[in-house]
Amino acid sequence: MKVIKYIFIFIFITSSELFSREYLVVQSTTSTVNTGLLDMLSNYFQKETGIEVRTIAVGTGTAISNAKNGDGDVLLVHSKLDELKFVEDGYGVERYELMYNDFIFVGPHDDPAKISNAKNIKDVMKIINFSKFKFISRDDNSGTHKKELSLWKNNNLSLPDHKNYIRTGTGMANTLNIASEMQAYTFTDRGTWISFPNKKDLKILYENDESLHNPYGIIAVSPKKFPHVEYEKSLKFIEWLTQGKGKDLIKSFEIDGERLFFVNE
Amino acid sequence: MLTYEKIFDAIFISLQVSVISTILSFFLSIIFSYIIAINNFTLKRTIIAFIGSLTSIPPVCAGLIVYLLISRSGPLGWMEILYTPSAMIIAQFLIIFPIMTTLFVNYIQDEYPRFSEELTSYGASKRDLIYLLIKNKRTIYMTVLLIGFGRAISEYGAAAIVGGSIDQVTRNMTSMIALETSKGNVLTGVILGIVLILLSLIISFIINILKKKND
Amino acid sequence: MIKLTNISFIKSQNIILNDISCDIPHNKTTVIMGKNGSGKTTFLKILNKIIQPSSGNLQTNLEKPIPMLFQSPIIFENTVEYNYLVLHKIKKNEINKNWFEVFDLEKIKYQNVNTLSGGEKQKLFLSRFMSYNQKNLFLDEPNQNLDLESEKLFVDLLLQEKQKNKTIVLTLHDFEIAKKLADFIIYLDKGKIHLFEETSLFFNKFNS
Repeated sequence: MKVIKYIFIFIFITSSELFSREYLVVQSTTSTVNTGLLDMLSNYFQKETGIEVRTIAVGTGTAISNAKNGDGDVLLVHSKLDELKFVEDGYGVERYELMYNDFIFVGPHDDPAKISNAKNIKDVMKIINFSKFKFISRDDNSGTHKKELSLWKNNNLSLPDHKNYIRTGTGMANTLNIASEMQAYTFTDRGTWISFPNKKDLKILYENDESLHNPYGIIAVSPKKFPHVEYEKSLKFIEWLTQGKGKDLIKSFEIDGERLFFVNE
Repeated sequence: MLTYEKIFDAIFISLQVSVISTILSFFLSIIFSYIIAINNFTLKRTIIAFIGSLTSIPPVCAGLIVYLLISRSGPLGWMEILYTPSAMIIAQFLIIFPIMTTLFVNYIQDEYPRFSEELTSYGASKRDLIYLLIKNKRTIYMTVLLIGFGRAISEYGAAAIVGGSIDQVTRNMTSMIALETSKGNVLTGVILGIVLILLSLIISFIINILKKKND
Repeated sequence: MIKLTNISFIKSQNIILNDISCDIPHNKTTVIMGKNGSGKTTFLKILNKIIQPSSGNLQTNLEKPIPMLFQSPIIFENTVEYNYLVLHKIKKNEINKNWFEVFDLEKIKYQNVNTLSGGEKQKLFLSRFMSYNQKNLFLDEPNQNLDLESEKLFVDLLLQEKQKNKTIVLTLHDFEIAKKLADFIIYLDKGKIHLFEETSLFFNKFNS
């Protein structure tokens, strides 16, 4: 009986962190993790520097909110306006552009709404606004959803409130699954699309518009605001990703022969 | 990307966290339940009803409560346990402690009056009664352990929020299932789910054998 | 003697005992009889000060409850021997194994109580109760589940105790056994005393 008690105490203690951290906590959006990119990068970084990278993959909104609570050393999301505000408000030191890809519109193969015929982004948004065909929106404070909202705003359209505008409140792959099931349209980042295993009933219908640019930013959480953050390690990581081996690894990251993320040279 | 190593790590983390939270909750709940059930005080019914209502706490809520406490900007942030298995243990504890306590309190309230009536005539003191009640009715313990552990190992939301579902550190089975499913790997999610059920089956089996050995 | 004056017991708005007045004589055997639900067990519990009457007065030498054989005694999930010894061990009493042997429990003493038949359990309860060597004996349906042989053993045992001039109060359903054991019989009906009489006179009056 006593033995059990001591084993239990031992496990409890060793499972918590009594010693100084040899790891970095990254608050990240989900697309960098679900595609497998961050896992690959973390492994290489750890091999090279011995620093473990622990990623908390939540939505962009949650990642930012967690970082504002001081619960992370690095912020990695794709919502430039929010990122800049994060730095401006003193939570982050400086925003670096890590990589980019783009957003795309996908939908059923037969494309009844004829989105593939649209001449520009404004046409696309108008078609969705029209209400005749189902469109799935993430509605979850993610980077992707924030982009969708900005598209409505920038094209002077109000958010649709008809019954064919469906809000799921879930992650990107879930949303794609629903779109596939319902044979509906939806809006996704290209990285998640390439790594999505269930593509067969959907097709890319609108892409390569400059307003669909999807930049990812990386920011070190400010040690002035949160003295406990591992600032040195954060800087090392960001440097490795933007100028060192990490950059090459991002460039060479492929799924089924297709690149998911691009970097500025 | 999903390797056997990662799956085994997830299984280990699930077991580590849920076994410890179950044991912790078990012993604290026994003590707490006895104190409540045996003494009479003004708020007794209210407290018992309140604990009963806590059995319905959604795992996500339990996770959020703990997160608010142990976040860097929370009162217990200095403990630095956010995103560690310890935090997961605490969050699961919040979920199963009310369940175990409610079961025990009800059991004691059912058994104690009769115990007390007869055995005090035989000279037993209150302390003797508690000792005998704890020591001699073993099936209730097995039942409570089974129910508590089942709830702990299957919950998703509490451990995920405070643990952060960090690969091979705080990603337990349920977090892994949720992640694979949300990535679109539904088949993987289902297979992992079956693994989890088999695991629970084995443990339930073990507990039942221990129970039979006691008979 | 134990004197009951206008004793009533009410529980959850049910009148279990209704204005009972009688004297239970010392050094005699009194049997309480009556249909199920007539209040026999409650009567016994009040005599032993296990429960307080709702109204009325109880005059007795007892300061606090004495060991009593309940109708459904507490059983511990353990061996027969454990169940016999445990209460004594807790109070660090001297253990008298005589009763264990009287009821022939030696050969099943290591069995778990879950495997016992109703009759074997009852023998365990009887032996446990008797091991307290009380001067006064309160028993609630002591012969339930007993086979003929064991019942005979029980009756002989109680007759021996009678020889020692103990005050004995018990509840029974069986008239034949009551005839053998009782000096006085109380018949309860719906919480009231229907008849309280010496045994020799009881059955004539009862049947009329």
